[in-house]
Amino acid sequence: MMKVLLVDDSKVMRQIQRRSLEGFGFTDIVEAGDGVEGLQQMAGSPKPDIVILDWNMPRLDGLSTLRKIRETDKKTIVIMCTTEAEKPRVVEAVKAGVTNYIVKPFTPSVLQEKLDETLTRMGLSMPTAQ
Amino acid sequence: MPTTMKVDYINAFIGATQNVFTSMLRSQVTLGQVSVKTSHVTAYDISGIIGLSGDAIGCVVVSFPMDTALAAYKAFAGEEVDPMDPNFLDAIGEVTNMIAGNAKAALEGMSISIGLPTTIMGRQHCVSAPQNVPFIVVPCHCELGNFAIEVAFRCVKD
Repeated sequence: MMKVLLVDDSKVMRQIQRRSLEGFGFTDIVEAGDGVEGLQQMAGSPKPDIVILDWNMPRLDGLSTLRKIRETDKKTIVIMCTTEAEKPRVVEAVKAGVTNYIVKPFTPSVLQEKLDETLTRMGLSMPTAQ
Repeated sequence: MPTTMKVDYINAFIGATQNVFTSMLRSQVTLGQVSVKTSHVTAYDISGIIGLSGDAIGCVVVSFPMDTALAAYKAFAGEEVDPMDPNFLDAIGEVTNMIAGNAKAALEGMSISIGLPTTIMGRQHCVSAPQNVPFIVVPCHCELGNFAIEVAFRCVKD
């Protein structure tokens, strides 16, 4: 069973993402309100397999959080989910090691497609929806 | 004070608003008559505000009357909310964040940073723009109700 970490300073956005993920069949979902809390969750056990990461957050932004994660972990799937849609920003995230990228606003089907595409690329598959 | 703003700039915010409302709130936005604001008082009583910096300075305000804001919350989060619940203003801030982020992406060739959203609830509250930056008001309507976007935007790129 894959564990998903949602990192976004908007609690409502995390609720929306959680509801979608539960609909896709994910059951082990944890949340963090900024990058600092996100890194604390990453240090937990078991470590999340997938991180859905906002960019603009207080304390520690998403790009800095991604860089911190990649200092020690090249394997965890990190998907940025952000309003930062300009090409230079996406390139920065790719250079920092992002696995995939979702631009807000998004629909649940976009989230599902991006997750499916990412997991398939990694030789994994989506959970079975209940 | 200047009373003009390049059409492309305001169109970026209008397009972003329509995109966010269609995608996240499943609601089509139609526009009223665009005008230049003559006072600091916002159009309605609940506002999400985001500052802009970089190649342009200013801010974007998305201002809702209570009924529209509650309906927008329900469309966004899928549940009812009490206006005193912190999630209510959080959602208004997130909608504003998506509009500002989407608009800055549409302003190709400009490097603009957006701040974190601030939300204000209260009758006749005021938001001031940077000096000499006009505030353009775009009245909006959708099935959730009326609201307005107010944009103060000045390009400072050479």
